[in-house]
Amino acid sequence: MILRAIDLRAGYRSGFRRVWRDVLQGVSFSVPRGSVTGYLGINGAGKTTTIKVVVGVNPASGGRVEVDGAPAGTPEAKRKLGYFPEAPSFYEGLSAAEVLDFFGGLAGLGRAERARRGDELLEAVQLSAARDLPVRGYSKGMRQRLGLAQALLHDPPLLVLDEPLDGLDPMGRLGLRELIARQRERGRTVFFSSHVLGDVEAICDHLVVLDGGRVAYEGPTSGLAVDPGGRTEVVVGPRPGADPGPGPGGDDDVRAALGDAVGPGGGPALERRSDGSLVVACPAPEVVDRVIDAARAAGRRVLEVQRRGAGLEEQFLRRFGQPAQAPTAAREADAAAGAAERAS
Amino acid sequence: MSAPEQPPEAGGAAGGGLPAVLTVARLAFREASRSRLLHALVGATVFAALVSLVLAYGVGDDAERHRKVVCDLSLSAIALLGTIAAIFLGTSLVAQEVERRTIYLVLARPVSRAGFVVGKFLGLAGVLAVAVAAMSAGFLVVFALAGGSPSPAVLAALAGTYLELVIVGALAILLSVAAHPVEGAVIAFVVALTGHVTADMNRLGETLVREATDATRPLAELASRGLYVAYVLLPNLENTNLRAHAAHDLPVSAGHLLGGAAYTAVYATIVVALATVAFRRRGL
Repeated sequence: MILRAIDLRAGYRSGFRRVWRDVLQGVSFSVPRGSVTGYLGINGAGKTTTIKVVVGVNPASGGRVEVDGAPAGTPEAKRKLGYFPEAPSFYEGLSAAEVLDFFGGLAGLGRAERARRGDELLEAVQLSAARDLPVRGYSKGMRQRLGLAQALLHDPPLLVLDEPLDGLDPMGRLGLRELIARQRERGRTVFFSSHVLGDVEAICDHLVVLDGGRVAYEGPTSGLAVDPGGRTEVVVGPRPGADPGPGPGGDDDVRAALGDAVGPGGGPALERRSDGSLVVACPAPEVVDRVIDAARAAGRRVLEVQRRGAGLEEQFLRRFGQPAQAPTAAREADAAAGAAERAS
Repeated sequence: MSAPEQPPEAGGAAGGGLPAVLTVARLAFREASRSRLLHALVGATVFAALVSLVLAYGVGDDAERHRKVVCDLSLSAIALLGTIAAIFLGTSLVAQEVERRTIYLVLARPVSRAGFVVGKFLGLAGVLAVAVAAMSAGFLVVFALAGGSPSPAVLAALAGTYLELVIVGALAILLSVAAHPVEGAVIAFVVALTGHVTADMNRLGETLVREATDATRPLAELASRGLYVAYVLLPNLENTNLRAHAAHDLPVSAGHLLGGAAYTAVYATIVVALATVAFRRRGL
């Protein structure tokens, strides 16, 4: 494990009387080395609070965090991670090259090494053309890319990214997903928080979900994202030369065959689209094969096979979308299930 | 669970060592030296020197009087506008990092909070040196027009003014870390003004006790103790104030200047140490 939080407590002072409030109430989790781990939770769950302790910006008020065996906040721990804060902000008067030179200096890189790594990373994040322009003129996307470049500057084994997808356009999100994938291929570990659950589902192999100041789920993404009530839809093309308008369109024979393939109760699983194609809902994987065989036997083409059902986002909202309360039996069961899957 | 009385410092006690502190100092120097306010204050100081030259010629034809007026007014302008620069730069250097959240990126590197504050102070001290040098250059040109020359007393007064600004800058950093930046700037300005009368305050306390009647003695002793505490805690900026020596071309001993430098080093070190403690306890 490259990152471990053990009974972590952290919070902040608020109000006129500066009363202390623990946001994290004994958070424990582990991040496997080489994984892309998503850190999820609703707003105010304590994701950023956790990350600030991990990277050494704020101290914990209890428990401990270890980065590759070193206590969080120590120089040893800081050298092993690269940090991308939420909506990164830079020294507005400096250029991208100067920003990277400064952070490279703090990371202990020599002058030549800073220049070389700076050039490489500005090229990688497509900021070479703007390298000498003041950051104050940068767009949000350019700032995000510069933030990633500074996090990667000393080539750390662990990347800690706080809402890196926030505010990025689809191209920017795709670029970031590719960058994270490259880091995983290089054996690096990525630990990141995000609200963009579709992307989290696509790139994370491990999840930690925070709810009510505690870990509500920890385990593989599939343990939370796969919906046991989901189904696969097979789209069967219309009969060649058939009228695409409303009405059965001479589909009685294939309807019967597809219904038989689905099995008992297969009738209502068929839906006819306006273009004449038929959508067949398959409740189990073995049904998909039978439906495809039946469609081909009837001289029809299979246009599409797609998994339908609740993805990570819907599952997340279903389980954690309610206001945080004391851990319920269901949440404890989620946590136990995640632990069991990890153990297996 | 409540917050620990003395939370462990994120960033570690050792931090990233001197190179990281110097890197922070270099950036602080670069940022502060690009401040438009600083440029304006340096320009205003030169303008004040030129105004003093006009005023000097307006009071008569005595060349010695010209020299004294320009020296007195210009050195006072350097001290006053330099104090404003030290306060505004000192209060903004750390506060802006917190407000803009650039501090997150810095503290995630092998730099301790203490190292960060020390680096900021060193950068401020550096930029104040350059600012005083620029103000001094402008003043010396105008001073030459008035028939003056950079005597040892004048140079010592300029050096003393710089030492004064170093103390004010350190206080500004402490107050901006411990309080809101605007409140910190106001308090720093009051302390900077009070710093020129702390010795007088102490003498006032002694006089109060000496001249008290039996009826007023308890109150006089209480006031005297309060004034003595203020005398000890507040900076004595008169230790390095050699402007009267320069205006009247009085000799300045090396011991006087070195004593002032030692006082500045000790006082500024204590203030910056307090700032590091205050900053360690602050949530970000």
